[in-house]
Amino acid sequence: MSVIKKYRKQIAMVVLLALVAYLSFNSYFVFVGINALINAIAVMGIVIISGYARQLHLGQSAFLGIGAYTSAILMTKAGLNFWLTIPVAMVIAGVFGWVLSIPTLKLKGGSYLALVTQTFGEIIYVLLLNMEWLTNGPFGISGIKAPSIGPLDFTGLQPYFFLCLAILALVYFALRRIVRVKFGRFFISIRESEEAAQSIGINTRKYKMVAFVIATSVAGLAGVLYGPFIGYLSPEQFRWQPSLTLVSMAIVGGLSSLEGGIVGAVILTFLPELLRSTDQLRMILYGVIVILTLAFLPDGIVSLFGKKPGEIKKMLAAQWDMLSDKTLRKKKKKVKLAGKAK
Amino acid sequence: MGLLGLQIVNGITIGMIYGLAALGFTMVFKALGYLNFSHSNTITIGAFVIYTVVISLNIPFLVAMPVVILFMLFYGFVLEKVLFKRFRNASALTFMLVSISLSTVVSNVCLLVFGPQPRALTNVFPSIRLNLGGVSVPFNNVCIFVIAVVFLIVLQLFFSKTKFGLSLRLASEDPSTASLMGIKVFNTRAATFAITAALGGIAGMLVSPLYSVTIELGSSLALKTFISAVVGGLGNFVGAVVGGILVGLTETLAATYIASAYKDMIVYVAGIVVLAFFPYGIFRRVKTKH
Repeated sequence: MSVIKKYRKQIAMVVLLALVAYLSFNSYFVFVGINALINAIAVMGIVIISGYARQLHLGQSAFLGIGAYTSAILMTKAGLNFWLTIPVAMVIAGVFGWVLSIPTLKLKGGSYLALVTQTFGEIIYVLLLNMEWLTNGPFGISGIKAPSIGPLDFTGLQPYFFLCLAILALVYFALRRIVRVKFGRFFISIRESEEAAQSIGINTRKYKMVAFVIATSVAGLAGVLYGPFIGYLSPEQFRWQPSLTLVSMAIVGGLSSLEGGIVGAVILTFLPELLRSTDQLRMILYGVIVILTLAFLPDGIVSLFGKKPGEIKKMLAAQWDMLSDKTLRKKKKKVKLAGKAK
Repeated sequence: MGLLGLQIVNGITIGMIYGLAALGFTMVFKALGYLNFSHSNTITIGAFVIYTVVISLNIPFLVAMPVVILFMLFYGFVLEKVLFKRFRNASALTFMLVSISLSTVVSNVCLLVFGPQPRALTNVFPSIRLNLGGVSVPFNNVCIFVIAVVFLIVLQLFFSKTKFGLSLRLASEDPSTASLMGIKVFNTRAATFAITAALGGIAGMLVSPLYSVTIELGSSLALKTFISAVVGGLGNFVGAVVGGILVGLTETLAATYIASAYKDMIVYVAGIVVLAFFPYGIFRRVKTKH
């Protein structure tokens, strides 16, 4: 029973998600839900690299692309089993992540890192587009079949949803384990101060590389799930705009924890769908809502959890004061009052 | 020889446009320490506004330019006063995401206002070819080059001769000293955003006779602008322009002599390799505050 007590938050979350999917047997919501789960897996990778190790990573969707293409090519051209392509895709995405980490090790500023990771994503896109003998170029790969294991067939949206949910839970617990042990502590030490970490004998280069490899191979796994879900892959799906969306999911949810990544992914995947009735204004509203979230909750939506309504009100009010120049005005008033007192 | 010369001229022309846009990018970074990802929108807006002014109002290109520049100055100013001002204390990551989200908003507003169809701004300059030292160069490119150089000279004069320009530079170097010397740092920030938006708009205006004017125009140039700014060293004004020219040259030469399908990739790989050896850009030998 102690296990249930210890993980009660996580279990509640999983049950909640399952319930939502079960109750809304509307296939449209399940479709969006699968998308949210796949995004959540990739966003957890961003949380590891950008949240724990504080290395900005703006090329995550390229690694989704690597995973998806590896799996799809192996399945359609080599006839490999879906389950076997998962480790292959993860390894290949991880190798690319390792390659990406090499030029970034020297870079200290987040801005330069932003450039290198984003550019790397674009390089992958150009490669996917132009290596026609392998990837079919702009025509893309179609006819990716859903997997099955023994009597279980994951064709249909509902079964695939539960498969994704299971994999999400698996990745979540694996990553949680990673950040709780030595690795995670080292990542955090890099985040807090790289120099200090070096001075106590942490090989920061090595652990930055490890963080990159973990983050990108997780994205590769998400990519593998993406292929059979959409059934069709084209390079356009893995450009830098989706990468930036993934990063905003991580930030809006909260970069400091894996749960934040999941929450952000679910909310920001459903948001455009909920706004669908506004038609052309949809993406405008989406952008405005993301900006407002960033303005009022700089630590993400997760920072609201476990707080009383009064505390939340106070927090939002303080943030509003900061945004609307009130702090400045208050200071000016104080100066005036001080002058009068004299 | 003729082909090489022509490609070099083409590369420098497109490179000047990258350089102008990169200059705006780098100015915001120097003044605030933030990356403004919505900068690429100013390219799109500049191109669309000049198209609208030239085609629908039937005004010559050169006369329309000041109108567009005024519009872009206003755009940048309003953006700073309404939005960016509020994020002056935010972390670099938050600001970056705000600008990314803003970029989504602005490009969708553009889509709503201007519509999705691509437009072409042709016959802006007479389509004759000039013979420069044995190389036949399109007059178009010469005009764009000259206009870009004129703007750079004006900018240089503004920053080195006028009092306001000097105060802008001081405020971006050292805000606290600047405020002690009576410079209103908040106003200089607004001016910085206005000027950078104008620079992006100029880049958009100049690119509009070369490429078709679409909503994606800005985002297709964004990454190369970014690379130009970073290769030159973020915060380095001269470096941004030289970086832009280098990117433009690499792009056109790679397209001609290696493979046109991979020209973007070659630019990107070159950018990453340069950064791997010169982590602070090719012009910055000494490590400074960044």
